[in-house]
Order: sequence, then structure tokens, then C-alpha cells
Amino acid sequence: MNYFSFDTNLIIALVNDKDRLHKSSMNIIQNESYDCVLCKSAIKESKKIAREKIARAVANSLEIIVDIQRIKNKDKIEKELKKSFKKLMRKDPSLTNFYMFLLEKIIEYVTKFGIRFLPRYLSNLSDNMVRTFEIELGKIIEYDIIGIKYSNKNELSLLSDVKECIAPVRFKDAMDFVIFCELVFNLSKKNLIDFYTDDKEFSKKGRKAFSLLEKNLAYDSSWLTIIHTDDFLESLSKR
Amino acid sequence: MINVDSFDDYSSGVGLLNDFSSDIYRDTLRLYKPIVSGERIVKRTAADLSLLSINKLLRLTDENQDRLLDIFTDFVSVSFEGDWNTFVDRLNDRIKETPKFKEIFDSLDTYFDRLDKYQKSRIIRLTVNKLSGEIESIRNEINDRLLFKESNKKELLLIDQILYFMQNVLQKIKFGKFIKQSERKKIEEELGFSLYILLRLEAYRRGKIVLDDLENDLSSSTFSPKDEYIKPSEYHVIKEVFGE
Repeated sequence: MNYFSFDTNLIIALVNDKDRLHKSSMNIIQNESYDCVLCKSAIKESKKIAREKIARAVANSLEIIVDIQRIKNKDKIEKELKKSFKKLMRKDPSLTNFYMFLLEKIIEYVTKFGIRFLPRYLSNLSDNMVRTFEIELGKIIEYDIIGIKYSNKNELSLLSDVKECIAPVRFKDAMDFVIFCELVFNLSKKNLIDFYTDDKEFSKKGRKAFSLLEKNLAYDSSWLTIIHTDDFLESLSKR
Repeated sequence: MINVDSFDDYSSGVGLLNDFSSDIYRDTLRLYKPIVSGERIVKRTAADLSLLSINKLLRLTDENQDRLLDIFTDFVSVSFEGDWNTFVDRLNDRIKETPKFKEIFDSLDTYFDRLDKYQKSRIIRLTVNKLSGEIESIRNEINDRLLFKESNKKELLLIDQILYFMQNVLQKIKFGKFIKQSERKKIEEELGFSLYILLRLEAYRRGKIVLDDLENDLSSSTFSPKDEYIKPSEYHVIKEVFGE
């Protein structure tokens, strides 16, 4: 079977239609005839990025709430909230709709329950928000998740061989290394993967590491193709 | 008068964890060996002598408690990938390298096995209820500190979400009058996972892992929270915050 897969940035771009890579990632889906598999760690990294952004926005909202917690009048609270959120939106216009959504949720909560347990509500809410990521992703593309079974002794032994073999290649960070390992663990002559990335460094290092696996661990060059989005778009324009 | 250091301590996530460190020690023991929660249940059972070991554990000197938590947290200072029964098995091996702890925990295992299936179920239910109550009280404190001007919001929010996650895992454990053999593995897995998450918090408090590691833990988790705060019709608005 042939499959295609995405690097983290492209996964995120699928979900956010305002992302600079959204068109590219959608183009890939529309032109791919194979099934999609996504690395467990790439999904994890996508969720982590989302979590960090949501946490920042919620922390900014909490700063506002701290300032207005002494106000007793609910109308006045609403007025102050709207005024302060406007400032936040001006600071980061790309998140205007998101802040509007947050503001609505806060006003709804404060009207019903007051401010006392608002931080906890926002904490639960932000965790819920992160978890919509995979739901939204699933609406755009059907995929299976691939990874490494760390409890399997054979896989652990293979991991140690792979680590040793590709040791001369220094990936940018641990996550890039794990994504590469998850890909190569799921390759065989029956499972070939086209992996799309927007990261030039990953393309270069991934290819180099894979050539070491071909040389030392009998991987076949046809099993993994790392495709940079620029190359894909160029080939698309020539069609 | 409050000095600057104590003010900083109050504002930070580590400060909060410091304030609950003895509770976290007790919660670790409850999750690792649920029989620790069942002091009253084991009385007048075939496991009544386990009270001696439970008391030994709960009354360890500060130095020994610290030593025990040090072994636990060393073990989780590298993130664990695998199934949670294996995690507990490996943790057992590590803890039992210290003869003093091996003796106590071996005896607790032996006594727990002597309980019947109804008693075991009651002990695990009690463990989960006690833990849920304690998590709730830590979360209440976090809530209050988040309303404090100088608090480190990002750090406290993350710790709170880890506890929220634990609450959800614990709430999903299903109990019957007794635990069937087929359910036991699942429950042990859920307790094992909760233990790992709690120990990661303690490892963070001890400076063995960083905030980024805790974020990774949460991002690897897949579960649906019990309470839904967002309607599916609102999902599209949130997409804006994903990505660049």
C-alpha cells in the first residue's frame, strides 16, 4: 500500500484556513490518491502548539479579570470586559474572532455564576478547545495514526539500531527525530510513504538519515519519499 | 509582613505544589498501592496486619519520604511510552531495589491479594473518591491564585489542566459491587496512568523536568472530557487560534 503523510506545520494548516500553508496542504490532499497516515508525534506537536496559543490568550483574559474582580455590578463588569478585550484584539488582530468567542463565554459565565470560579471555568474551557483540534482535523481528512510500540521488544531493538545508524545526522530538535523514526518504523516493501513537509532542514536531514538506513539497515529507497511543499507546488504547476 | 520570596512562591506553580507536597506524597501512595487508603476496611479482614505496613509508610521520616519520592520521580524524569501496566511493573522493579521499601510494598501486595473481590472494589472506590477530593482542593487553590495579580498564569493553568485531566481519568473508572478479573487490568491501567501524571507534577516541582515536558504530556493524551463546554457549532471559531 502507498500512503501519504504530513509534517506538523501542514497538519495545523489543514485546520486553520487563515494559515499561510492552508492552500498548499489542501492542494496536496486534493491531488493525492493514496490514504493518509499521520505520525502520532506530529499530531502531538500540533496540539501542543494549539495548547500554547490558547493558554496565552486565556492568560491575557485572566489578567483582565483580575483587574475587574472587585466590581460588583454585572453591567459594569460587562462594559469593562468589552473595553479591555477590544485592546487585546487590537494587539493581536489575527485572533479577533477567537477573543470575541472567549469574551462571549466569559460574559455568559459571569452573568450566571459571577467571577469566583471563572479561572477554573476558563481552564476547563481551554482544555476543551485544544481537544477540538483532532475533531476538526477528522472533518477535513480521514487518517490513521502511526507510531512506535515502545512496549514491543522487537520495536525497541529496532529503535536502538535506527538511532545508532542515523546518529551522525543531527535533527533540529527531538520532535523532528521522533517524527522521522515513526515514519521509518512503519515502512516496508508493502508500506510506502510520501511525506510532505514545509521544513527545508527536515527535508535535507530526513533524506540524509534515510540514505544511511538504506546503506546499513537494508531499507529501500522507494519506501520513503520526502517532498518539500515548494517542490510539490512546482510539479503541480508543470502538469 | 510578607517578604518578596514568599510572595514569589505564592505566585508560582512550583510554590503551589510546595504547599501541597505532603498531600501529593499521600496521593502517590494511594495510587501506587490503593490499600493505603483502606485502613478501616482492612480491619477485621485477612489483611488486618497490613495496617502495620500502611502506618510505616505514612509515618516515614521526612528524609525517607523524600528518598522514596526521589526514586519515583527519577523514574518518570524521562517520559514513558508504553502501556500503563508495564509502567507500574517497571516502577515496582525500581522501587524494590531499595530493601527497606521492598519489604513494605511486598507486604502490602501480599495483604491486598488476601482481600476478597468486594473488599478490593471498596478500597479502590475509596481511593478514587479520596483522590478526587484532594485534586478538587488543589484546583480550588489554583483558582484563587489565578485571581491574584502577580500569579504566573501560564504555569498555574497548565498544572490545573493536568489535574483536570486526572479528574477525568479517575471519573471514568467504572465500579461494580466487585471488580471482575476482566475489569481489573483496565482499572490498574487507569490508576497507573494517573500515578504517572501525578509523579510528573512532582518531578516538575523537584526541577527534574520542565514545563514544556508537562505540556507534552497533556498533548499526548487523548480523552473526551466529561463536561463539554463548547458546542460543536462553535468549533469553527476556535480554528483561528490553531497555527500561525
